[in-house]
Amino acid sequence: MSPEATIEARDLAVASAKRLPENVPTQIPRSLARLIERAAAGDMVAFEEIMKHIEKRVMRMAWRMLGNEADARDAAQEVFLRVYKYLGRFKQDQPFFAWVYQITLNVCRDIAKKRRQYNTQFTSLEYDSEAASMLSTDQADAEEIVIRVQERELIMRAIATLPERERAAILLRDLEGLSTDEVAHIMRSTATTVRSQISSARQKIRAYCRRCLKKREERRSDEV
Amino acid sequence: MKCKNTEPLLSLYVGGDLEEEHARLVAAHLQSCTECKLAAEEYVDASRLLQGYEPPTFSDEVYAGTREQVLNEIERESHAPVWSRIFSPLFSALRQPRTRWITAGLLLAISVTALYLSLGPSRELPNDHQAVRTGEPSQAGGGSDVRSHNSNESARSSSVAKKGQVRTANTRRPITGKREASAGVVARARSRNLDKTTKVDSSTHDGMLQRPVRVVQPSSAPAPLRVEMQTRDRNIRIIWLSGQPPDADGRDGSKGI
Repeated sequence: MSPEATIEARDLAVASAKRLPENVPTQIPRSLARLIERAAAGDMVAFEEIMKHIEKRVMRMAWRMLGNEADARDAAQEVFLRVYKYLGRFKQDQPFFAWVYQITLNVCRDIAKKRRQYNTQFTSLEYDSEAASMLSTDQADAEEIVIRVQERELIMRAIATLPERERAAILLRDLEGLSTDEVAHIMRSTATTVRSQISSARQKIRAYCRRCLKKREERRSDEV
Repeated sequence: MKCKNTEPLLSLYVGGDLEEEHARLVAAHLQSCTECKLAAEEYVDASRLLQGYEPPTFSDEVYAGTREQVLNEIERESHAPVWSRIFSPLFSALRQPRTRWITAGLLLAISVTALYLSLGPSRELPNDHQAVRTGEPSQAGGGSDVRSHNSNESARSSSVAKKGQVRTANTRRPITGKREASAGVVARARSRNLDKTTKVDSSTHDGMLQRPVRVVQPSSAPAPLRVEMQTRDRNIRIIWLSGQPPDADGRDGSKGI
C-alpha cells in the first residue's frame, strides 16, 4: 500500500471516529419512549413491557458472551435490575438498545470475572442434546445434522478463544448486525479500534477453524 | 496492490468493513491472485460458520420466569429498610470484581489504623524508661544507656534506691510536655539517692512493648544486683535483688518484691 493510501486510510478512520455520534441512530420509537418515561416514574407495568421489548436481545447476547443458559439467565436478570435502577438517568436522545447492550456487556464481564472462567464455561452439552433429539426424529439427514452440530461446536470453541473485547465486537457487528459506529458507541471506543478488534477476531476464527478442519481431515484420511 | 498489503485487509473486506476505495483495490487484486482468493474464501467460510452461532431457543416460560424474578426482586428492595437501601448498594458495589482493589485498600487502611490505635498507648513506655534512666528526657539521645557513679555504696543507700525505683515503677505514666520535664527533675533527684551505683539499662529492650527488663548492676563486685521486669499489668513490676553478699551459711540475701 502506498504511503498516500495509508495516510488517507488514517484520515478516513479519524474522520469516521469523529462522526461517531452522528452515525449512531438515536431515534427511539415513540411508544417505547413513553414506556420508558412511565417506568422511570415507577410504573411496573410499563417496566414489564420494556422487559418484553428487550429480553430476547439481552438473553441472546448474554448467551453468546457467556456460552451457557444458566449464566445467560443470571445475566438477563441483573441487566433488567440495572435497567430499572438507572432508567431515571437514561436520556431520551441516547440510543436505547445501545444503552441496554452496554449494560449487558458490563454484566457479562462481571459474571465472567466472578466465575473466573470466561472461556471454559462454553459447553457443547446443549448442542449435543439438541443433536440427539434431531437424530432420533429424522434418521435420513443424520449425517448433515452431525456436520452442522460439529460446525457449531467448532465456532463455539473458536469464539471461546477470543479476548472479551474482541468477542463483544465481533458478536455485535457480525451477529447482532450493528454498524461499526454503533459497536464503537456501545463499547465506548472509536470506530478504528473496533475495526481493528473485528479484524483480529475474524483472523483468529479463521485460523482456528482452519486448524481444526485440517486435523479432522487428517484423521479421516488416516481412518480410510 | 501486493499480497502482503492485501492480506491484512481481507478480513475487513469480507465483512464489508472497508472503505470503498480500498475495497475496490482489494477486489482488483483478488481477480489476479489465487492465493489471496483462497484466503478470502476461508474468511467467507468462517463467517458462514459464525452465523450458525445461535443460542438455543428459550421457551416463553424461561422469559416469564426471569421477568417474575426481576419484579419480585424490585418489590423486595422497595420494602427493604432505609439503612439497607443506603448500605446494600455500597456493599454490593464493593463486592464487584471491578472495585475489589478499592475494597482491598479500604480493608488494609482499616487494619493499619486499628493496629496503630491498639499499639499507641504502649509506645509511651520506652519514653518513660528513658526519662528515668537518663534524667534528661527532653534531650533526644542525650543520655547514655550506661551511667557510672562512684561505686562505694552502702547497703542503706542501696535500699533507698530500691524504694525510689519501686515508686517509679508504681507511678509509671506516659510522660509528655511539662510532665516530661518534671519527670526528669524527679529522676535526677532520685539519681542523687541512687548515687554510687551503676545502672545498666537493657537498652535493647526499649523496643519491647511488653515486659521490659532492667538490670541495675553495681560497679563493684559485692554490691547488690537488681533486675526489674515489667509485667503486662502496668501496675505490677517484678524486682529481683541479689542484695547482700553470701553469708556464712551460703545465703546471698536475695529477695523478690
